[in-house]
Amino acid sequence: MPENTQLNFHDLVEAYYQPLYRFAYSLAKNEHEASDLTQQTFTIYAEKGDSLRDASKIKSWLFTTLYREFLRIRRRSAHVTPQENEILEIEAPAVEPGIANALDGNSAVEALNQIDEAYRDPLILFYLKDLSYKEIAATLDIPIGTVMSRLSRGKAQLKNILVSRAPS
Amino acid sequence: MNIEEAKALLAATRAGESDPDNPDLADALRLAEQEPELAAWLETEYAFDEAFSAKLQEIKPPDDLKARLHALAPEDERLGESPATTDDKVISLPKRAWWQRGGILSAAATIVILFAFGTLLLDPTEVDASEGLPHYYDHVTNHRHSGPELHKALEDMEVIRQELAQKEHPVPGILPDKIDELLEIGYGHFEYKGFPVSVIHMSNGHIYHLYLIDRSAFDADDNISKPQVLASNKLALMAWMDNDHLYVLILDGTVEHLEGLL
Repeated sequence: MPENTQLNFHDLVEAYYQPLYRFAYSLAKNEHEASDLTQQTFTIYAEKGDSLRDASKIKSWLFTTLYREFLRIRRRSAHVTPQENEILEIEAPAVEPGIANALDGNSAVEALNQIDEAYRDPLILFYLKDLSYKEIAATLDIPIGTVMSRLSRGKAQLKNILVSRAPS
Repeated sequence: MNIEEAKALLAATRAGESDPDNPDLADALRLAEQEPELAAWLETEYAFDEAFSAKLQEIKPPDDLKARLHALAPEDERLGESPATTDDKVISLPKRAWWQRGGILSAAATIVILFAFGTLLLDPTEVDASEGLPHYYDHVTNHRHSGPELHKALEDMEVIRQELAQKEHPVPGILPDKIDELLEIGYGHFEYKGFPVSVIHMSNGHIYHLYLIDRSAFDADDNISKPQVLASNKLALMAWMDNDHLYVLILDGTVEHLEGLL
């Protein structure tokens, strides 16, 4: 969406509901929860978005809101205690692009969800390609340098997961 | 910087994007221009990233999601009232029991209710209600399908109670534990046959809408002697009454899911 356009709820839905849904699905791994997270994000925008006058910040705001809602629900349900995992240096195996071509959308999400949580969330946003590094850092509320190091380690984990799943 | 160090840095980059404020990354990119091995590795890396990104782009939202999101648009693109402040008047709320119990359900009552729920599990479509209630269920499920308007986003049930009381809309009493644990999103309201109806938006990953209306909106015969879980209008409903209100919790999901909240 171009910057400085007149903000319109319907335009925002058209522009961002698919990327937001993909982000939600990659986090939640199921259609119902992803739909609800997307719906909740736009509900909050409808209520609170009047303070946003800069169209260039809307996208980042929507992704950040969705992510915070996801974390809020996770914390409330107490199924997972968010924690910083110990940093483990994992060597990335050489992986040909063909191993990714053999996946479909769901198996790609499954592979991402086997990655340590601290590395998984930046990696999801990296691969969705909707946000810049700076926006990823803002969405996850971590420094950009941390984003970069987690991406590197997350990719190493992802490749190991894909290699271990690939038929020998 | 050696090749392995450069790989660790470059692995975090997207093709065509770099951080101009990161001199180490600039060095790594320069090294990739000079070292054929690193250049070949980076080309493979970007090709892998492109292929993996393409797979995530295959994820498609449900067909009806877009329509549901458009239905959330504020009328005339206007937004709701200003957020509550700490200066808002605090209203003391009546304490009401869940399911007409004074405090803790007696063991005998628990057995009776569980038996009743067990019956409903066997036939969740059965509705034990007089004529007035099915009409109301039909009305609120249609309202739910239309995308209930959120008049105000609030994440605290006590604040929602206070604001509903100020507006003289039905105020929820004590809720069942698992329903009370749902995250509040906010509230809305409308009228049904001249009676105010409160709609509390809630979530736990799924979206729930709790509709409240005064019992006096119905005939005395329209009494729910025990909580009901039923399917209506392609939605799942749980209905119960306390001394003052009829509560209807609606989920776009299965009755089994709602029964899990009991």
